[in-house]
Amino acid sequence: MSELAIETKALSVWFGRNHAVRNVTLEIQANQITGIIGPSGCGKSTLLRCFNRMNDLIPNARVEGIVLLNGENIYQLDVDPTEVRRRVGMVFQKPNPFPKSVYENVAFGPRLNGIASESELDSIVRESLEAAALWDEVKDRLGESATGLSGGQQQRLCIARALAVDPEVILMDEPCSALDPQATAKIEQLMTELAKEYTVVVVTHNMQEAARVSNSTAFMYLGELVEYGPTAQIFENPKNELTENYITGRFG
Amino acid sequence: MADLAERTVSASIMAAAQGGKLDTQVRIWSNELQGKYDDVEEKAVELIARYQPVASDLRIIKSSMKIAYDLARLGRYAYDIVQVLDLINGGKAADRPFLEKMSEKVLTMMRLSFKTLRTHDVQVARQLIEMDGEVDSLYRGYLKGLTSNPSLKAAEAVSTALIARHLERIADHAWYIAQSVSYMVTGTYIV
Repeated sequence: MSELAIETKALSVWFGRNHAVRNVTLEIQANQITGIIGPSGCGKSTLLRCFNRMNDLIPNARVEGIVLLNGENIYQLDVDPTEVRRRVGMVFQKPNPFPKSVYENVAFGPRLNGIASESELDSIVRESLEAAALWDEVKDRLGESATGLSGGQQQRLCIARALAVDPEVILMDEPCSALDPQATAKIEQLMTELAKEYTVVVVTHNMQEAARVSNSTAFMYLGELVEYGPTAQIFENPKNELTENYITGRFG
Repeated sequence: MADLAERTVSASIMAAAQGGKLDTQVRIWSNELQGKYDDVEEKAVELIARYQPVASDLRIIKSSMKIAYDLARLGRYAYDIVQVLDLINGGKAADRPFLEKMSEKVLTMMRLSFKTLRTHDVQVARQLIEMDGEVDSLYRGYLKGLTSNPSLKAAEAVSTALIARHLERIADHAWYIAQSVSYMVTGTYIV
């Protein structure tokens, strides 16, 4: 039995009066890829953003319940959200590199965390880019602006940037929806590689993507966790009729 | 497809019981079933490629491919039976009472299986487990009896054993079809 990277207990999120995530209890295994699917507005991205306290940044947001990161409650008063976000990295739908060089994009986080030695930064940048399967493509243009990279390369750069601060978990919110099939295939392959070292949680609209990459899949609807199980079971023989109707395209 | 398979198997069993030359007709039907299986497979692959079906949609497609294959196999075994009749003395040498007993069970199984296919009533399919066991023991019993009966003529032994084997395979495919229906409807096989 593998260990749990993230565990939520009776987790609820409100935006003002809108009860966006409803009483979700969920266990996410370490070193696995967990997919979260569901129609727009079902709360899947909000749930994801609870895992690194990103919802704290939204006015009117209120979180109730417990989120354990490797056993530690990240919503406890004495926990520093910035530290949580170092431990739980995030990659977004649209690649969002800083308008800086490739090198600086990756070195930014470690620098912020107090690493000043150039040689140390060099090796972090290289290792992170290698882990994000981007090194060979950018090693001769580390000084060039990151915005000159292709969309798929930019997304892998964002993954490298997340890896550079040595996280435990990587959250991905629709990481491939702005990419072409080839770039998508690369990211998906990379996710599988990453899961050997990290825990990956991916929110996706693309059910085939969840079906391809994730070990476990959670289906959310109207803020509730409807069904959660091994991906093959969810896509071959879902237990809940709502899941069945959603994944077969009968609604959503 | 099931109607055609039933017609094909019934005709071939009738020929085994009563004699008669049916190999041309049975071959035509058997080829037709094979052609239909090819069509089902092609359509299924196209659906998978174009729509990436999941859940019950996926199970329907997987089961359709398997069931179409089973139906094509029924046709093929029916043709194998009439070929045996044709090749060995017009089937006159075969142990007809034994084959009649066996084919009665096999036909019942096939019809029950097709009933499951049409109604999706998986409970009906459960009766097939026991019947499949009976057909198996008839076949095995005959094979064992061959060694203990030295007076048996080669033509009778060979034609009866071959036809019994084809009947036993028909029973198996009838059972597989019911299993596929169960998987399609419930997501699990009958155990």
